[in-house]
Amino acid sequence: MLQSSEVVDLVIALVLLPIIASSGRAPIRLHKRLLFASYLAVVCAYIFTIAEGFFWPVVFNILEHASYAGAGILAVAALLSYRRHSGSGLI
Amino acid sequence: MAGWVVVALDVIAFFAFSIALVLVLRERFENSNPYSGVIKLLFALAVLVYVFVAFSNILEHAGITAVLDEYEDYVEILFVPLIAYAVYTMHTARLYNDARRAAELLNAEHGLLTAIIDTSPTGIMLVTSAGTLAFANDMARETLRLQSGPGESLQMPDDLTCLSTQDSSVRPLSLEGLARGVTLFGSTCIVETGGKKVALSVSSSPLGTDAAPGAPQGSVVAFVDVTEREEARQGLLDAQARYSLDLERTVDERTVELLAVNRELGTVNRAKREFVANVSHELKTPLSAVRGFAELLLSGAPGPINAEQAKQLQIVADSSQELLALVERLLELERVESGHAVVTPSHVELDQVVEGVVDLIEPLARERGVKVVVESVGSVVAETDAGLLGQIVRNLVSNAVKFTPSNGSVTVKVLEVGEYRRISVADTGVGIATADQERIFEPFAQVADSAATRGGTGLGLAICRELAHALGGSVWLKSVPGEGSTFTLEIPARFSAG
Repeated sequence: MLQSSEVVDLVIALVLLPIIASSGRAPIRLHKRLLFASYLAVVCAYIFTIAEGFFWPVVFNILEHASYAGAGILAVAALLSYRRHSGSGLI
Repeated sequence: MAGWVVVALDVIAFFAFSIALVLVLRERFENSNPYSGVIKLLFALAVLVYVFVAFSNILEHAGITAVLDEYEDYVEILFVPLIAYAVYTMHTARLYNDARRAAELLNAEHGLLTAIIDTSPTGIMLVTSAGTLAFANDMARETLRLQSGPGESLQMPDDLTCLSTQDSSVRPLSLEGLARGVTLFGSTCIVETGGKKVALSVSSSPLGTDAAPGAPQGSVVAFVDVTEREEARQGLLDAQARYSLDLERTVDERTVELLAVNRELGTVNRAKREFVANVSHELKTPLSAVRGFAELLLSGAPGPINAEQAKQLQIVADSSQELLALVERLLELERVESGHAVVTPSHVELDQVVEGVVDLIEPLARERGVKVVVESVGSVVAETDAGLLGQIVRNLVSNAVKFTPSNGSVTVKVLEVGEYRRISVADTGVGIATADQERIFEPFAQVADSAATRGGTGLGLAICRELAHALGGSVWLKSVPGEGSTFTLEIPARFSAG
C-alpha cells in the first residue's frame, strides 16, 4: 500500500533533481555522470517502491533492490573515477 | 526464490555502499579547501544511509529480524538532502578555489607590475582627484625628492618649481592641475630640487573616464630625465648662435673690405677711362694731321714725288688711318661704358636695319668670297634706337665676314620671340674654342690667330655687349670649333629707360 514516507522521499528527490543535475560545469566529467546515474538509480528505487504497492509487487520489489544495488555500484565507480581524476588535477 | 534474489541484491548493495563509504572517507575532496571536510562528511552520511538501509533489508528479507525496518524511513529521508548539500558545497568549494586562484594571479601580476614600475627609469606617480600623491615609484621619489608626510602620504617639496619650456600657462607638475586631470605629451619642464636643475619630459593622462564633465579626475603622471638631452640641445643652440654671430661679423668685415676695394677699383677704372679718353683725344688731332698731310703729299699738290716716296707716304697714310680707327673705337667704348651712350627710341623695322647693314658690308664680303644671306619672317618692328642697333649688327656681321673663310656664308636671321626681338648672325667660320667664348666679349680680347691675321682692334664685341645692355638686351655666343659661330642679339620689343 501507499506509504507517506515513500512519497515524501520521491518528492524531495524529484524537487532537488534539477539542482543536483545543474551543479556541474562543462565539460561534464565521467565521475559526475556516474554519480548522477547513481542518484537516478536511487530515485528509480523510490518509484519502484511506490509502484510495488499497486502492481506486480514481486517484480517491482526486485527492481527496487536491484536499483539500490546498481546505485551502490555506480557510486563506487564514481568515487574511483573521481579519485583517478583528482590525482591528475582534472577535477 | 524472489526473496533470495532480493537478499542477494541487498548484499551487493551493502557491500557496494560500504566500499563507497570507505572511498569517501579516504578521499580528499577539493584539495586544500576549507570545505573539504564538510563535503566528505555529507557524502559519508549520504552513503552511510544506504549502508544502513541495505543492512536492514538483508536482515529483514533473510528473515533474521525486522527490528531496523522501522528506522529505515527516518534515515532514508535524509539521503537526498545530504546529497544536495554535498553537491552544493562542492560547487561552493570550486567557486572558492576559483576566487583564490584569481587572487593569487592578481597578486602575482601586481607584484610583477610593481617590480617593473619600481625598476623603471621613468618616474611614475598617481595623483588623486583630491590633489594628493597616491603612489610614486622609486625613480619619482628620488628625482623629485618626495617625502612621506603625515599619514604616510607623499608630499611634493614646497620649493619645487616646474616651469614648462613650451607653454608658460601649463605647469606640468602642479598638483592642482594634475588633480583636475590634465593631458600632457612630453612637456619639457625644468625642476630645481636640492639645488640641482633637472630637465624632465612630463606626460600625464586623466585617471577616470567616468567622472562628471569638469569634475576632478586625478592623473597618472610619467616623466623622464632629459637633462643631458636638453643640455646638448642648449649647447647646440648656443654654438649655432655663436657661429651665426661670428659669420655675420666676418661677412660684415669682408663686405667693408669689398666696398673699399670696389671704391678703389671704381676710382682706378674712372682714372683709366679718363686716361684712355684723354690719350685718345690727344692722339686723334695729331693723327688726323699726319693722315691729312700724308694724303696731301700723295695728291702731289705741294710738289712732285717719286714712286718710292709715294709708296712710303701711302704706308704712313694707311697706318695713321688704322690708328685713327682704333682711337675712334676707344672713345666709343669709353662713351658707352661711362653711360654716355644716349638711347633715342623710335619705331624701327629690324629687317630693314639688317638689310642696310648687309648692303654696307656686301663689298667687303664679295671681296673675301663670303656669301651673306638674310632670313626674315617679314616685317619685324621694335621701339628702340636704330643707330645703336645698326652699330651692333654692323659689328657682328662685319666680324662674321672677316672670320669666315672664302666660299663660306654668313646668315642673318630676324626673329620675334614673345616680347623680345632677336637678330642672330651665324657664320661657317673656324668657330671659337669653349675656353675663349667667355672672354671674347672683354675689351682687346681676341682669340689666337685673329687680330694678327684678320685685323681689328679687339673692341668690337665689347662695344656690342655694352650697346646691347644700353638697349635693355643682351648678346651671347654659341660656337662649335670647326663648324662656325652664332652670335645672337636679343632686345626688348619696347625699350624702357632704367
